[in-house]
Amino acid sequence: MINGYGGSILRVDLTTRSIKQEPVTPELAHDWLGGRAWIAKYMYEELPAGVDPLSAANKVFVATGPLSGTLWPSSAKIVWGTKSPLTGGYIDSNMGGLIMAELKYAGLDMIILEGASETPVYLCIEDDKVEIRDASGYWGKGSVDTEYALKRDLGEDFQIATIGPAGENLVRFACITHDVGRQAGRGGIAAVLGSKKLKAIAVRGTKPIPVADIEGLQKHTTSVIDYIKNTAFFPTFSKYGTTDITDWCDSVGVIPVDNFQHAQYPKKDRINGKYMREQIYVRDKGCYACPLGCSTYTYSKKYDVHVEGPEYETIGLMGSNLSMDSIEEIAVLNADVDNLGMDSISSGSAVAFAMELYQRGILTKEDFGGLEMTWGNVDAVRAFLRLIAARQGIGATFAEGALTAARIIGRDTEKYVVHVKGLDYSAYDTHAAPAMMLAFMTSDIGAQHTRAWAIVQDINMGRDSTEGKGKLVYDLQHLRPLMEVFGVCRFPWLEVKVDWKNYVTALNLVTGQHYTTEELFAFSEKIWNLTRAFWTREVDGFGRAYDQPPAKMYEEMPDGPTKGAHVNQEMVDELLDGYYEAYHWDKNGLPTAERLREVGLGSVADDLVKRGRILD
Amino acid sequence: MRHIVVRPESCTGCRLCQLTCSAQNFKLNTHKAAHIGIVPRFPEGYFEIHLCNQCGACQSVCPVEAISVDANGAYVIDESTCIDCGACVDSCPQQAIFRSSASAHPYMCNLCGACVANCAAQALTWEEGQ
Repeated sequence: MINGYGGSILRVDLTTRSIKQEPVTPELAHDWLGGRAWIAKYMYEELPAGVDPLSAANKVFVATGPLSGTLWPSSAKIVWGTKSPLTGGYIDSNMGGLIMAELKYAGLDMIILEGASETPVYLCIEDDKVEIRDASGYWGKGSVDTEYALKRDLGEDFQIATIGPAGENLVRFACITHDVGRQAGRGGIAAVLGSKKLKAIAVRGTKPIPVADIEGLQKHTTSVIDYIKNTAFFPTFSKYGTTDITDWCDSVGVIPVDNFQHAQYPKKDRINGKYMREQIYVRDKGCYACPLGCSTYTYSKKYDVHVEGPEYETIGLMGSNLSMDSIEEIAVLNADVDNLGMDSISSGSAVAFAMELYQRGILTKEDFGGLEMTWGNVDAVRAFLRLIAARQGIGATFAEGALTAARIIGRDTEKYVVHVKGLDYSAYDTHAAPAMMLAFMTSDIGAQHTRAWAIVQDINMGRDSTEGKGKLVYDLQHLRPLMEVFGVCRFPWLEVKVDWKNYVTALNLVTGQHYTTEELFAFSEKIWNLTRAFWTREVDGFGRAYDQPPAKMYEEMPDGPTKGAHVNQEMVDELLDGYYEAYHWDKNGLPTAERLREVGLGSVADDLVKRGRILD
Repeated sequence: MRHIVVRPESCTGCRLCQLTCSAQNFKLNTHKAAHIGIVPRFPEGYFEIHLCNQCGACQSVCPVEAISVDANGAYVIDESTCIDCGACVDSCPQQAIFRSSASAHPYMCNLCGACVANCAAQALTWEEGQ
């Protein structure tokens, strides 16, 4: 027994149907903790170099952390990882809900999914009993519908993660869904599950998680919850969640509009958190052990549809970015992509890209099979999303993701895709936010806001200034990974300022170890070097060229609070120079053998040298 | 006497009450040994809260008179008398008497109040009563 851990890693080969359990060793627990770190480690070690993401040789890793499922506030994170079919590089994506706890109650800390089944299957875990079962009765069903169906068939107390039709049809931005509306959204991990014909994972466990000092943990938790309840922002954040930021993003000119052609939305009062609360609110909903309960379950009367959300990212990408009329349209689009099983960020990006091509006359109504892809046309978007999920007509092109779609369409359309490394931008325009732009440029999964978020710093340090921002983003990238290594949500720290030191205390109370902040930050450094090494190994010519911002950021913003703003190559170079320097990487942004060895990745250094990817 | 009042409309389904209860009463990290039940109802979109409201129905059905009221007003099962017949569990109008591997006998809320402190959504609050 290791405190903080279920104790085992489940390895399932879907080709041979072999199911094995491997023990979590004290060394693995201590040296690599769990979550995102385990995923980075196993992915580098176990995936054959150059593996096709949608082949049976790719694997999906699902990892909890030592705090996942514990009493510690917001201990609700589980991380999914694989080689991304959208970007061709490292991807991990985490979800909340309750499944991380259930997995640990079944004695499992990680699942490794290998091979590919020939027929649809799901994985059913009940403590030590693990079975690969026929899923032909669920294949073709929506993500959320499948969860309800499996709960009906297996029992309401099973926790279930599913893929939808998009995952089955290998849409490269398909997502995994759990607990009605929690998603591991980014990078198309569900397409890899689809390629393995794995429709769902259902789990129920009975074994409590061993905790070194449960009384100390309870005391610590209660004092932190008491702090949270008394913070000024708690009532607002627990009520509105991420939607609270909508007005602010509009006022500072970062909300995406019409595929990032503008950054202020005339109808923002019809898509913000306040309007959402008035129009479609049903219930606040929280993930496991979370005192914040930031999620909102809603019902749109206009469309007769329930959905968990929308969150701000969906409001941005599928609302203002498509010029939707109100929160009701966003809710129905959110429900559509949830049940189809597609990431609402990349779905919004792919649709917005299609609409801009339509706006510019590059693609026509005929190209879209009769759909008028005008801004705000919710019916056309709903139909188009179904074409994508089913890979029908032009939907097959966009199912490849916006960047690949642009390369298929040609005609110099790549400049309209807002992405880094093939991963579409989250809902923050960066015409006048260099640090945020650098965070997108250097995120180790592509343009994702959760790796580092720096708009407030951009406003405080100067929105056209690059000075000090390379180091700033480096620093911001060092705390956040630890949240996903521990298996907790970042929001108590980010939104109501729970002091970081409390997390270290919780980790030590749960594990009985004596980790220090210094040690843990060094650990983050190791993770960033490892994922960078994975990209270096997998992508020919990887380096600075892959860290470039979208072409749109070089164009002047025509109106709004950031009118006239744009970036230039000199700024981009300065940002990257400062950032690479902070990491001790070379001018091309590649990790050096020396640095890899310093951070404890000697075998990775040797491997990259042997492959000719870096010099010794 | 103080009672714990439940407001299901405020419950977010986070299980902190159950986690806290299991830690307080059994020294276990799980939500499955709690003296309180949370049942999600989706797609309708609400959470049922099952918690003893001290109605006393269990006491009247117990065939061996194992259930009594303690100084705090909580109903408690005397484990040495309990024959584990399950009559109290089946008769509880609140479905708030539970069994789990944490205990050989059924159990219900003992009014320790640990859950109330950790329910940030205030779906559980204290109320002074008769």
